[in-house]
Amino acid sequence: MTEPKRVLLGILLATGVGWLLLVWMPLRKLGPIRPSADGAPFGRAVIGGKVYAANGCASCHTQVIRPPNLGSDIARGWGARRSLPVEYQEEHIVPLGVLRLGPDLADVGERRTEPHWYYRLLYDPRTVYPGTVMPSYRYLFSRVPLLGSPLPDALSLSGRDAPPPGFQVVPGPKARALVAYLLSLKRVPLGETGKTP
Amino acid sequence: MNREEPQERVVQGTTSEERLPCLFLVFATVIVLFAVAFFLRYSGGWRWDVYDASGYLAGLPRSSASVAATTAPAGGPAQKPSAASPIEVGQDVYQANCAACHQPTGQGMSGQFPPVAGSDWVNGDPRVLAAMVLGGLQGPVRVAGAEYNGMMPAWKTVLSDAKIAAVLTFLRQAWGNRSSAVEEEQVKSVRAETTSHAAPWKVEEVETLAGKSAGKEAK
Amino acid sequence: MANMSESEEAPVMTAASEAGSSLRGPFLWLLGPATVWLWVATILALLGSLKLVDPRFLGAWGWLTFGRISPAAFLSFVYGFGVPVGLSAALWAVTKGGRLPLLGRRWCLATSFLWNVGLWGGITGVLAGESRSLSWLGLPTFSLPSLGLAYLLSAGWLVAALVSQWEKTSLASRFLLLGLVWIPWAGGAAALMLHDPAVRGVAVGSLEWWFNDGLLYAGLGAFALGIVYLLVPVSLGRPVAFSGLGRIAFWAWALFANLAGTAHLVGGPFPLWMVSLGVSSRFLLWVAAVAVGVGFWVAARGGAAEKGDWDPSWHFLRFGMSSLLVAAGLGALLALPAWSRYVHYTVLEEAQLILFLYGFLGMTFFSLLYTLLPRVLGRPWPSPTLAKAHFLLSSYGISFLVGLLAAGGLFQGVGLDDPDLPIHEVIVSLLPFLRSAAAPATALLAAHAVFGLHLLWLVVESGSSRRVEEEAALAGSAREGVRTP
Repeated sequence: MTEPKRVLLGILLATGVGWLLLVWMPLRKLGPIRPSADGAPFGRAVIGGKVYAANGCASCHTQVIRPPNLGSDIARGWGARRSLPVEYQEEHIVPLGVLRLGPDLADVGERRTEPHWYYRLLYDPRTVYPGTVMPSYRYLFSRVPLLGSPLPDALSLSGRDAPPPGFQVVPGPKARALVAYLLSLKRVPLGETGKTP
Repeated sequence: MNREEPQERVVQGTTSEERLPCLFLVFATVIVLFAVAFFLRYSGGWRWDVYDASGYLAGLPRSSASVAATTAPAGGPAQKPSAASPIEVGQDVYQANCAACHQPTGQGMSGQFPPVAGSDWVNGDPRVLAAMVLGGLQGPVRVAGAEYNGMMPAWKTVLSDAKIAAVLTFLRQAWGNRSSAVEEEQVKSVRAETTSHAAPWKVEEVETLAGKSAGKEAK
Repeated sequence: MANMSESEEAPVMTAASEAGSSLRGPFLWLLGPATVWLWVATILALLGSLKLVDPRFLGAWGWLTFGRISPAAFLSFVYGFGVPVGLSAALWAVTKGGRLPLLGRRWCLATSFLWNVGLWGGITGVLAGESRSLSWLGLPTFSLPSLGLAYLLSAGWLVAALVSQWEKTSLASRFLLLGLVWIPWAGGAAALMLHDPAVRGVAVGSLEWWFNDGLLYAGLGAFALGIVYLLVPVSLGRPVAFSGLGRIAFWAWALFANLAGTAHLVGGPFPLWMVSLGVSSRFLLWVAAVAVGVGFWVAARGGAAEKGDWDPSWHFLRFGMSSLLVAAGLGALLALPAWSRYVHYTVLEEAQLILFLYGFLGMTFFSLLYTLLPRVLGRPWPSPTLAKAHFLLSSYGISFLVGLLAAGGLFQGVGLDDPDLPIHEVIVSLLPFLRSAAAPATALLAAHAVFGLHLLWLVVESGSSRRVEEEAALAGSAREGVRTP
């Protein structure tokens, strides 16, 4: 075998080692070897996961609870224990995240259970957290004419955000899906280990 | 490559200064040794069910210990858990190593992994329990009225006696279990007794280890 | 090209004008759109930066939400600018001084066309909300066939050319070969796997990070190191020292670049050994980078003294190598669990990424462009002042950007580690750093605008001179010849 062919083969082998160890083996060993107790996620929450990915929520939020010696995640009440593969096993979108410009969301469905809170945050984050850099996701909402009494999902807005008279602001399908996804994020149920967060 | 060699010699011949700087050799040796030692120390035995990063000496307060650990030879004595209560240590060990199968709630997974909450094995003879954790278990076993036929891996190479004692104590006192605590010495003696037993235990074998309170309810 | 001697350099001089007619087209097809993508990336990055100054800025438009433009900026830098320049480096290595066969020219045109069409679709898709949020795998599915085909067309030809001319070449070819082979191999494997419904769970996370670090180190990093080995003999008149050590560094680089990504997953839902393997690999990559750096600086000490005029190529190259050493060191040290507790998920990691991307890859690629384009176009760069302005703006811009993010990351990390401090307050304390980062981002945009204008000037000038005054090209090539007598 000539030298360039040896180098080429070596490159392929060296590359293959990484693929084997970090892609193929985890897929066999950590992947969905058995159906999970609750079954695969379905419906609106799955679509919401796609909305989460498409709008780059993972640019600023993580979905990983680190063990107590590697971070303050548990002490902050973001989850009761470290994350384990079993909590992600049916998901096609695994937004572990790169940066924390906001809280971890692995378990956010346990902490905040009220959809209206999420709608309000997504529509105008600064009414919930003044001074935050979180972008507003108004484009996921729509302004519709007010016919009779407001719809149950309509946002109660005041001041600058208030819609003109005769209109109301309701979450669009993507906002609903996103909130359904966030509400479904209960990877590490609180109190599961008996430890107070 | 054969073209490269003469070129090399010419260049080296013209300038004598082109010897590898000593500083680089020292740097490379130190970092390569550190990387190898780091991996050997924290490889977790290449196991897929070892997540426990408590060996990672992370955090400022313990940074002096971490410096000591990096210079110590690889595979040195495992760090003793700090003076926390055994229940807390055991809880961390359980969540890091056991929860993947027995589930964070201790309820197991029906038909796949037996529960530890309310299990007669867990609440039975601590020596049998310690032997199972140390050596693993395979073959049919009856737990809480249901049959299981699986394979639990051995933990003796991964967890120290102190950690096994802590996790057993936690198991025997969590989720409604009310049994006695397990001491490190008990685990140590079981480990010493069973060193010759390489393969995972079968139920019939491990039952013979039971002391006076043997076979209370295990069938 | 550690073994490139002066005699091999000679054909470039004599054939410069002749080569220009054959190579001008392919290189401009590759590098012209690359410069446009560089602008797109910088403008998007600056927009993202401004959105951290005031999140209401352009806030009503979903296409420009922070979570979309931030990945789009990184993706257009890496795939729009990085990959075509990497391909140009390989093209230059195989055609040095000679003519490009007709077949190769056609392939270059097809590559350029397909690649840019695919990428426009892809980046538009990311902005329109078609991304799966997988870092460097974030381009939407429909853009992948075009991109893959484009890459394979010219990479296949370049690999064959590199292999057939092997005896003339050495370390530069190895690194270029690694880049040429790694990107389609890993990109294809990753794209295929991600579209298999059976691939789900945390393995998607390890796949993502295997590809992320692989692309940066084994893909584009290998191109950049190949460029270092190509350019040092041109700039200094002598090769990078210690080619034996360089060969060891190459194999270490090829192997550990594929294993380093899991260092990012520390504390995540992965077995201990995967994380430890990643951390150890980062350290070994650092050693490999320093091994190349030692050879570089030993060569520089011997060769730089006789240089008279300000050579932009050399300054960019030196900045790139310094950035590599710092970025690789940071990458290793930040992954150490003792630190990662504080710095993981902070903008300090972002600072390391930017130092690697803009400081090492970007500056090394510019160095190649400053050397390559005058030779291909047969004319020297029209204005040394503009080149100097480009260098100063980008070096200060990168240094301040990285410095601000690193300092901010430390604040953020210490704040995040304190559970009694609400995360909202931690981020508010970080904002001054993020907001002032808009200034260096503007400097980078200015630098890239200067470069683009300079390139346009060069192309226009060479275009007119090509037809009207043939001797100008000869004079230009003679001027180049002064460097390597």
